[in-house]
Amino acid sequence: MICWNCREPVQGAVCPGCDKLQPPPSVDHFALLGLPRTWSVERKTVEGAWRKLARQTHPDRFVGRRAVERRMAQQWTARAMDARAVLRDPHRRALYLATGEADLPEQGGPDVGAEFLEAVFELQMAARMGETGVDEQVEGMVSAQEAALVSALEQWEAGEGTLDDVPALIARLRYLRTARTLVAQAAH
Amino acid sequence: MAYSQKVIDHYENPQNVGSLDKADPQVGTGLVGAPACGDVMKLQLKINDDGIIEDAKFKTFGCGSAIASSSLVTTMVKGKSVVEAEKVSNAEIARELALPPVKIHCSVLAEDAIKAAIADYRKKHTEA
Repeated sequence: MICWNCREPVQGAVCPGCDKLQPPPSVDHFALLGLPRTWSVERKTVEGAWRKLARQTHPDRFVGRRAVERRMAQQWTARAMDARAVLRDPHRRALYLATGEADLPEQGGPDVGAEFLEAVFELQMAARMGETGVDEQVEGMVSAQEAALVSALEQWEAGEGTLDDVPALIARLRYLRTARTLVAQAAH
Repeated sequence: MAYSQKVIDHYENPQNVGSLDKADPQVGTGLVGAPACGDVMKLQLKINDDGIIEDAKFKTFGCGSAIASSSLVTTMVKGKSVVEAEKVSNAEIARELALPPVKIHCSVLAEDAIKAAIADYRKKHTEA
């Protein structure tokens, strides 16, 4: 990139020549925080990268500057917070790697399979009818889907597979999260 | 978030909760879900030989808006012909319940459930 002020080449948020803040680049969440595009990034690594960037671009640092820089500082802050929120959450990070979106669409979305939906429905019915042990069955299904998700991501990271199954796995875990809440409510 | 009075009415006093015999050739069953929120909705229609919906039952595991949407939609389709019931749109449900934009997908789910139940009924009858 070329500094918008002094026309010198610049890497990073602030021009080393004239100290002017640069606009946030059009890159993905990983690149924005300076992280490699990987599944296996630890939460504390994300936090560290975010904190470093947030300090560098914090609007408080630019109070006395021109409006253009103050506006850029706000843009950096918003982008960095977005990136942090997505990358520190394993499910959102997985979906982001697979689809470029951190959340499932409001409507439509991946097909989880009729059998899975049926199983989730039946478990919730059973819990509503006062059957015991439903919570353990839900936890068992959660563990199975979590394991499948991690396995798919690890294989992909090792260069041995695709992330094609990730959206459906995330959707299944979403159904199970709702089921877990409702099963717990039914037990009381 | 504040629910509208209509949502609260249907949520507190839901109409047509229950189930019909899935194996009955006159019954069509639709089971649909919304991945974004994890709600699951089962809707069943009992359709007579004249193509009129005699009975409708639902069971929904989800938020108040999803329960209200399915409750309302069963009251809307009862007594209607299959062809009329197919025309029930999510916009109609959302308007009737005054759903906020973030809950529109609940009304979409109810529309999908009706369509899925009718499709299941038709499948039974083309196979027979």
